[in-house]
Amino acid sequence: MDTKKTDFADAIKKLEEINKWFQSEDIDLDEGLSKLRLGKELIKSCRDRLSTVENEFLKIKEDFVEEEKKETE
Amino acid sequence: MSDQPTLYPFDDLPLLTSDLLSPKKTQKKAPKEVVEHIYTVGEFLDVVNQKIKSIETTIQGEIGKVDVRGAAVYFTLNDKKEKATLSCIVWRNKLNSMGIELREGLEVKVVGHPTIYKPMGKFSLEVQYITPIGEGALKLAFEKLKRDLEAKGYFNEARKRPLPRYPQKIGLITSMSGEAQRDFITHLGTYGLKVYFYDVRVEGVKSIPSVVSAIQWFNEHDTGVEVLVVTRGGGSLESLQAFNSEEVAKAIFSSRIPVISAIGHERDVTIADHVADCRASTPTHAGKMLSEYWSLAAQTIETYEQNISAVFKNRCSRLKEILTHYEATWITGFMRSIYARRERLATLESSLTGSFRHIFQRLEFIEKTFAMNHLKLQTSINTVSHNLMRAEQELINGAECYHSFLIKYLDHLNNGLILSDPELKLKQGYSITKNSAGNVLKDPAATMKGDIITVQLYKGSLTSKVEKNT
Repeated sequence: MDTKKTDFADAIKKLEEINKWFQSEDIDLDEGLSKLRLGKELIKSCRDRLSTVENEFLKIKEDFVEEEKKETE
Repeated sequence: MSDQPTLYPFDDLPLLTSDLLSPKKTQKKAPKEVVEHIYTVGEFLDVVNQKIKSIETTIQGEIGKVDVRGAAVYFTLNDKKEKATLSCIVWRNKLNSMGIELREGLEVKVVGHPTIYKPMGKFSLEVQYITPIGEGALKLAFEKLKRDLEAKGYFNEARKRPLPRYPQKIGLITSMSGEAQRDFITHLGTYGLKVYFYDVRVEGVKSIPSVVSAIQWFNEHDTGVEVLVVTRGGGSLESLQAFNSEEVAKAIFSSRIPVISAIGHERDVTIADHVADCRASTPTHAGKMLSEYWSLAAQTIETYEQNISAVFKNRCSRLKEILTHYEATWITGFMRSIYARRERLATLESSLTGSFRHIFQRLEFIEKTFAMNHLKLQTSINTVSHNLMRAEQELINGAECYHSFLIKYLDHLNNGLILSDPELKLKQGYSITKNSAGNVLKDPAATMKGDIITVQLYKGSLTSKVEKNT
């Protein structure tokens, strides 16, 4: 999960940088092509990540209750 | 959700000696099994205190006399309905952490356990928590705690941490039965997030340790949670008391995980809100806050994709235009250069041809001149030759004439010579007189008297002496 998180945040950051790079006045065509390819890959992976929809809920009340019990004992 | 105090009827209090010695046995069996054990007063009070320590109770009353002595604060709690009073003791540091100023007449709820002060045999309640009752009192307590915590730097913006933009794991601290968790979850979106839900009490005196434990639990367990959300719905100042306590404030302040507090409604700003790294006005707002970047991500990605592609396409077409332009310029330039060179070549050729023509003309002229001169020369030669021939002829003719002339002339000369011959003269009787030097004498003045002269005659000569020269 951490890797996924890092990947997504990183991917967005890289996309941001690529987008910024493309905003510059004069772009090198070869570099532009390689950045375009990387950008497309990142966009695809981000879209894939966003397509995971349902959240997961883990209730940890029981742990708390157990601890509470231990404390009172 | 209200906090129900645990009630212990007096009959249930295990205060009999038999129970103190054998806690497993019931009090009903006690009278028959009393063991004669003699306690000292101190021992007895120790045993009693040990036993009654677990009787944690919530009691409501009005504060009477307050006496601060060293590390402890003593006060009485009076019953408003009947004449009943309870001695209470609270440790000063604990009281300070509650942010409450104890004043006579203040109505409070206290949580604590009974204890007997051995030196005086005095029964009192050792207080753990005090909650003022009534908005005014709570407000005062709130303001005091706020001032204290602010002075300690709890609200310092510089120490607050930014929230992760794309949180994957969220720790949710709220009551399972409350509206807050539903509002939060509803507005969290569906981005495949993992929510660790820690059910806590959010109201009443037990809510403080409950919330504090939850915050500590997340900080002590390696769940990978990136942000904690402490939330509950709106309520009175009293019901929000846990979130206006120093304990919860401290727990939030000490949390290594960034905390979002979303307590009550927009108008409710608690101490927890001030301390938290980020304040959401409501549970709904907290949900939206955490899903904001997620929900924007798709749009952001879309924008980036469009930007990147558009810029690249634009750049490519610009380059194509430039190339086309260059190509056109270069070709035109090249063609122009070729034309210019051709023109130059033509000029040179023409110039050269002109020059050659000129040379040819000149040569022709020279040739003609030469031919003309040659003719002239030939004519001249002929003339000269002719002249020569004529001259030769003339010379020949002249020579011949001259020869004839010469012959004639010679003849004439000869004839003259013949006539001039002295011998002939001599013969004719003429003589020639010469001086002694042999020179012919033509003037007597050339002689002197006495000179010897020779007179040549036709036949011989005479030698004479000058006698007289006249």
